[in-house]
Amino acid sequence: MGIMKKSIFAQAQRLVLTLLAVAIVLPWGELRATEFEQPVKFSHKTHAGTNEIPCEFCHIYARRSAVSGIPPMRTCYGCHQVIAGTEEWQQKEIQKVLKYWEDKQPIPWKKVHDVPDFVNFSHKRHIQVGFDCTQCHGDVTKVEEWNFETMQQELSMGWCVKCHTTKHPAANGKIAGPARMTRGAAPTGQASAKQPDGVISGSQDCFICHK
Amino acid sequence: MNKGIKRRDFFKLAAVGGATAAAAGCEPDKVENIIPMLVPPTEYVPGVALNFATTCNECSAQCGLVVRTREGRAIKADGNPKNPLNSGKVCAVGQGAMQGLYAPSRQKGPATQKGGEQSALTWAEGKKLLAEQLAAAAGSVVYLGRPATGTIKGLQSALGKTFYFDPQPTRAIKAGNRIAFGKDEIPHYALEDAKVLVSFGADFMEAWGNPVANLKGYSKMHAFQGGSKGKYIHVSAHMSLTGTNADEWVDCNPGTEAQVALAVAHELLGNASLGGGDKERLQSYLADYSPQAVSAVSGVSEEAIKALAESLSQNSPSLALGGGTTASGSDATALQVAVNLLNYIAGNLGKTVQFGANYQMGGDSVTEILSAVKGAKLVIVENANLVYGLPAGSGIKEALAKVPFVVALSTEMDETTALAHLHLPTSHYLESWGDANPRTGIKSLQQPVMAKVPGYDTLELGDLLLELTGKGGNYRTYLQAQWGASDAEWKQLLQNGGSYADFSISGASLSGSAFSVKPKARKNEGLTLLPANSPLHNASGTTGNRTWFLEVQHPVTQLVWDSWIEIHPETGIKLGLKHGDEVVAKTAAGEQTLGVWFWYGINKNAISMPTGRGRTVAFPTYVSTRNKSILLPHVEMASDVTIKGIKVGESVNELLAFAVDDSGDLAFNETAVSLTKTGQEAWLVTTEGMARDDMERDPQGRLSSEIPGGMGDRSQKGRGFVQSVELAVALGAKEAHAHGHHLRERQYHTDLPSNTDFYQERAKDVEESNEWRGRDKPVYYEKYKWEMAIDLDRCIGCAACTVACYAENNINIVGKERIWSGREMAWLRVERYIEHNPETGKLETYYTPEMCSQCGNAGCEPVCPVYATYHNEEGLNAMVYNRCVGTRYCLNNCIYKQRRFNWRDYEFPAPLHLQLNPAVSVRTKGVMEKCNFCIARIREGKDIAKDQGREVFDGEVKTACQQTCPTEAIIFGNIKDQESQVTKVKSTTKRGYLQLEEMNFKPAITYLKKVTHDNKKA
Amino acid sequence: MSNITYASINDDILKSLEPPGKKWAASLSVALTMLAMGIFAFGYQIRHGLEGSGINNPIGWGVYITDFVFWVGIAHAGTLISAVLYLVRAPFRTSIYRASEAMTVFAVMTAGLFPLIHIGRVWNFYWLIPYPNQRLLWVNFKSPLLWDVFAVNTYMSVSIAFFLLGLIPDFASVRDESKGLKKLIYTIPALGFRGTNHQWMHYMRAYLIFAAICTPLVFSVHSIVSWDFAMGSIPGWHTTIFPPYFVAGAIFSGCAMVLTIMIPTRMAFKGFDQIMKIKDLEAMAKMIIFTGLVVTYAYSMEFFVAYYSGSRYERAIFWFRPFGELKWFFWGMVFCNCISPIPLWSKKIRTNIGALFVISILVNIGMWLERFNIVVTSLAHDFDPYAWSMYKFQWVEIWITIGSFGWFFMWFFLFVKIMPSLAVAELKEALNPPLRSAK
Repeated sequence: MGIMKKSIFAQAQRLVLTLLAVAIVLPWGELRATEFEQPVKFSHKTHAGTNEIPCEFCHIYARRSAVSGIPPMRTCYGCHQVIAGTEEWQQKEIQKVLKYWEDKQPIPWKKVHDVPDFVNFSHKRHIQVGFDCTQCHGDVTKVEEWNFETMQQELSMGWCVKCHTTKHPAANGKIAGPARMTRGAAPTGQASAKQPDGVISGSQDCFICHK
Repeated sequence: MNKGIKRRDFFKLAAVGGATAAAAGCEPDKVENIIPMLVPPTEYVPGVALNFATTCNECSAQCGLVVRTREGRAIKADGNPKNPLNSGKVCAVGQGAMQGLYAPSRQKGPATQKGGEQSALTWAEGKKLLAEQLAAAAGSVVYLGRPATGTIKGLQSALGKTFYFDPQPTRAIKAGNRIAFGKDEIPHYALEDAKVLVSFGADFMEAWGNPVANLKGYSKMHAFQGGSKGKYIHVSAHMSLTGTNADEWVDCNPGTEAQVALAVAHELLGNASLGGGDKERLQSYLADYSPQAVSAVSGVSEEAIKALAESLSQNSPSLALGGGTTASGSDATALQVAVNLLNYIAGNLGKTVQFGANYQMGGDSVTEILSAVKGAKLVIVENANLVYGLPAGSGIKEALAKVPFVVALSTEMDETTALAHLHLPTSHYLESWGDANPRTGIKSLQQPVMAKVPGYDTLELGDLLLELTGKGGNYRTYLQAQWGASDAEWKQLLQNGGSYADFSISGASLSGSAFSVKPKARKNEGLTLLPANSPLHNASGTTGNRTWFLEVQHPVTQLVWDSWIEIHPETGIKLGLKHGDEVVAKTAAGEQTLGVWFWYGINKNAISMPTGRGRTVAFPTYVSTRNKSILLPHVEMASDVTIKGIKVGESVNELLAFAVDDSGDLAFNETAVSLTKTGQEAWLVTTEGMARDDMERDPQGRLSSEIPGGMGDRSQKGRGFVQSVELAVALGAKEAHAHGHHLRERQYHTDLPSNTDFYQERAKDVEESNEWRGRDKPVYYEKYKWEMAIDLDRCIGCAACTVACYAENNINIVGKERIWSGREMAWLRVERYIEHNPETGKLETYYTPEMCSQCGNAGCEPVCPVYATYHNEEGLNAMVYNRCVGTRYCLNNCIYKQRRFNWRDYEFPAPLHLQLNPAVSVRTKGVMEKCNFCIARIREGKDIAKDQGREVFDGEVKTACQQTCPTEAIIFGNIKDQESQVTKVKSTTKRGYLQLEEMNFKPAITYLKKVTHDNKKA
Repeated sequence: MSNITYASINDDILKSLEPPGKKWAASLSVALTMLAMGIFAFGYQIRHGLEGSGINNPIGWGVYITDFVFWVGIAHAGTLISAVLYLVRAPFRTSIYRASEAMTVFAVMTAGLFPLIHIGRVWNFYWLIPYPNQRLLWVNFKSPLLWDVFAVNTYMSVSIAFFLLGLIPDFASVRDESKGLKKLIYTIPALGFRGTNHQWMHYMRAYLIFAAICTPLVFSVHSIVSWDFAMGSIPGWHTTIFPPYFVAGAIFSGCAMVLTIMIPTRMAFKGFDQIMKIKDLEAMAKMIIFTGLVVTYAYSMEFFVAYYSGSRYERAIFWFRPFGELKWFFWGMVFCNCISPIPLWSKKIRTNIGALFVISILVNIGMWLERFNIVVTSLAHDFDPYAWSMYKFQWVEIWITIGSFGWFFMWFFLFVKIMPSLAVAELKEALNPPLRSAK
């Protein structure tokens, strides 16, 4: 509804946005608190990158539910009771995790990839149609720690809509992309090597995402 | 009335002025925490709903529930489809279980109490203290509980002499059957099989027996289907919701129902063939109940009585029911006997009156309870609110005060537990294990649907009792042992919610003792007070402190957040009263100040008052501008809004004189009452439009304002929202009136240009534009178009749908003053119209559920400047809250007026906010909202369907209102699916009509006309 | 008019720009206080939502939209007088058009606030503006509200431009009369106008063109505003008579407002009564008579259409207005708009300042009531009898309405001290040139 194609007024857009930003942001200070520290320096680079742990090994709900799920403490402990870490800072952080486990306390992570409460985003649907985590979250294997700087997408509505309005080449009903054993694992081949036999584009019904 | 600005106000003003710049909605986003689990439960998936089958304890009928949980929180109670009692349906009160679970009034934790002051304890201390007291009081311990039918009974009686308290009059039914047929049980009254149903005061749609089961049967019997429609006659002094749904209301003087029943029996006896000399004995017994004699006392004309007898003899099997608060006096048993005789003579025994079911409903004798309490050294109270439920005259309060030690195991802090010395709050039944045996053959299980509600330190009743009785161990395993189920079976049982078998009908014969009982002669001087139930409140008062049941309008009066007096206009005018006047109602027991509401459906010698009100409910203290100058500022600071307990209405029990029937039931309808005018106007608030003045004149040619009494005209002014059709016409046996029928029929009709709506017409253009724009505009109604059919012949206006809607869609509770100023939030409201039937010259009451019609040519869609509301591909009239800027043009342009605007931010008193459905946004101030056919459920259904690579099948997606509707009046589904029920109904029915069709809005809701017997209705 | 000369006009008018006296300060501070009330109430509304106003279900629009239409209506007279009457060369225009133009500008500025004030989430008002945005969302051009946004903005920009254009020669003369900083300040808007033939030629041409541009706006703006209602589907709104009816009403109220503010101005400044003659005010009065008749005709025609349509809904609403619970708003309107202008038929009253002033105020009230009638009664009594409702005024909307008057008069008071409130140059045109012999 009312979706307009990416307009030629890119300049105008930037100008208007700046003006609005000035008009709205200035009086009430910055709209987003970016200053925070994760309780544990968790490194996606080490886990997903160096050790090539597939995303869904920890984010177990991504395929089954709207939310991908934050790994339960048991998952952390499961490995780290035997993995102490190589470098010193790692050992320090891992000790923290073990401490949490012994105290039976959860780690109060700070939420980085956060969509507003009025948005109904489903990981399930996107994963099942064949998207790969990296297509939205970027190449996590290179990200040391998530924060609003290292975040790959601002998760803005425009970003969602752009993707929903594009026609994605599809091979037998799934997005033609890298095929993997599990999401986030190393590619086992290119599904797109198969001749794409159609296109898939997301729904443009506001009701799909807005509850 | 404050003149000028006080100092405190001044600071407020200054503060607001300063804060003006900080426009709301512009605070910086907080960085949220995301908390992992330590060890996740196996079946738990965040973001996916999980359902648990359990048992409802809101009343002693104990239906099966399926409770829906998200992220480990219970959010909605629905009926258990597998349980034959309620087969997937649940009444409004049952929905209320949610607000009971998250009740702010719950007792926080174990504590001792002296003079209203509590001092907290640990559970260990508490249990120790109780154990000591038990030991000390050994032998004279009394356990007062809410009616229990399952395993727990054993443990309770092991603790002390156990009584169950339930103010609803049900014991008389048992007694009546014992006396008449020697069967001490509540049989199965098979409404579904009856051709004619006569109710002598029994409000079986509200609180008599199991309302859900009754309605299931009633709709089978009374709804127009297969070319037939049963007849239902209501004999009572008061026309409650149950009465308004009757085809005929026989108005009898208060307390004379039994005599009318006997008079009918007297008439019926003539051509009845009865064996074993019963006929002779009956003749002699019924001799003094000739129609002439009875019509003198009851005020029912002989013709009416004869006609009743006639229709009973014509249609067999028939069924007569008796009881209900308004008909139960100290001779309630006699009424039951009379009804039983009537059933016997009409030959309904074993047909529509089926013994062997043995329903375990109701509590123990009130007299016994009172005497037991008087003698007790230690009283244990568990969810039995006697102090509220019994009339003050019973002296229960004093009796309890005299008891040396009172222990409260109750979940909630109520009028009774307020007198306790020790609080050991047990968990809510939705947090505990248990079981029930509501009738022979049905054993239902009750399992915890969630961990204990945070902030409440409670123990499960079962575990506690096991410990106190020295058995030890945990109740779950105990229960399983008692059921003797293996783990595998147990799992199966839990999934089904129990084990269900039919009962075998046992025969019965008339016993001589029946003739020993006779109804008392009632002389009616002055006015009699009749406490009346409704689907939203009953004598037990459990819903009296739950906001849903105060916010949702009382079905008949449409009043909210109050209690009131229903009085016949003629009586009222005779007393010099006007509709809405404030009066003082005075009885021997006490007096109360209330508003009067003129209602044609009540006997001229009686007034009626709602039961179950006058309780204290936690509610935010929003600023009030009522009766305040509109020129001075009335400022509300955030700090002003606190959760405060407010008393809503008055308790009828404070007016009732205490009397008890032989069976031990409370006598409800014997209190004489007098009214005196205060001269004030009462503040009665209704969701019904305030301005009802219109050019339409009623058949007497009076304008609304000219109708005496000042109630005005509550009709629909011929707008044809509710339409009805005669049975004969519906069957095609008779021509409809050439000129539209009367106000209930459409007056004129416009030929509509086409049968397709805007989007169907534009489908082609869309495709073309997609081609040359290379863009995907949605193609409308490709796979799904969601539509609804509402059968007004089935709808009884019980408002269960409204409560379900509140529960499902996080609808804000706005309170009395906000409803008064037109800010109510209900997405679905059951509108009540009182029509004047020129043919019978009588008034008739009609109900229609009104919600957003998801129009094809909607008025709201084109006028929204920002596309916050638009037509989506599935024909839904989508409303995107977070895009709305709040111009309210859509509200203005909606011809059904089914849009609701958030005039402010409302609070959910903790922990009620835990009940909010995470699949539905909570709306903030300044946005429009409305019904969207439960889009969250549709989305979920489509999601599941997609997983399985199919389309949604019919009945997979049910809207909340449809799911709960006990009479299945609401049919919802995908019109593109040729096999779907809604498609079939719409394509086959001859009763279908669209509201305001001539406006050509193409609503997606088709209403099915109400069917009347020869154009007559109560 | 012998005693009026170029010089005297200059002096009289420019005197009005001399440093203000106590009276002026007092009246300005009153206006500011009223404005403060409005701002406070609005701030409160932003924090607590709209429940501080009487609007409810189903009456979604109330005092705010009434105020909006009221002020847009006021704004009409100015352009009518300055542009239309200029094109038709109406002589009585010259003395009053400057002030009424100023009135137009300020009235539009006031009206423009109300759409913002009345929406539920004013902090998102910019969503109503079609601009390329991050959300890739667009506005709905089908919605009359959006037409409003454009209509009002166009009208505002054009009338401001026209206003300033007309001021150029007068700024020039102020500049010439003054020295120091003041001179510098007035030099800028004077745009180097020296009064050469050459400049006058171009100036007059430009002015003519602008007048031509403004003229259609006079009719378009209020027609579009009327579509907010006429496009609605509810009885009492959904009618084709609205555009002409609204335009007439607008001019009606506009002329009344001109009188309401000109009469005091005329008294406040010495010498103005010489320039702003009774006959000019009388001309206004005549326009009030005429437009008043049009409005009265429209009222009666509404009733006829309702009857003739045969629609029970239409009939019901037009029964409800005069006899229903809100009848006093209707009869108030009838008295103020149809009855009260009748005395103006007599020249005696037409030329009596006091009477004119009173009647003009009555007409203003009446026109407010008319808009209230249209907006509220229709919503209070539409299709579903169950939903019929009543309007209960609340303090916030009343304070904001007061504030809007404060806002309007604040600007006007500033105007009379900063700009020549009568058109110096054009008044001079009206005189016969001074003869050398006379000196």
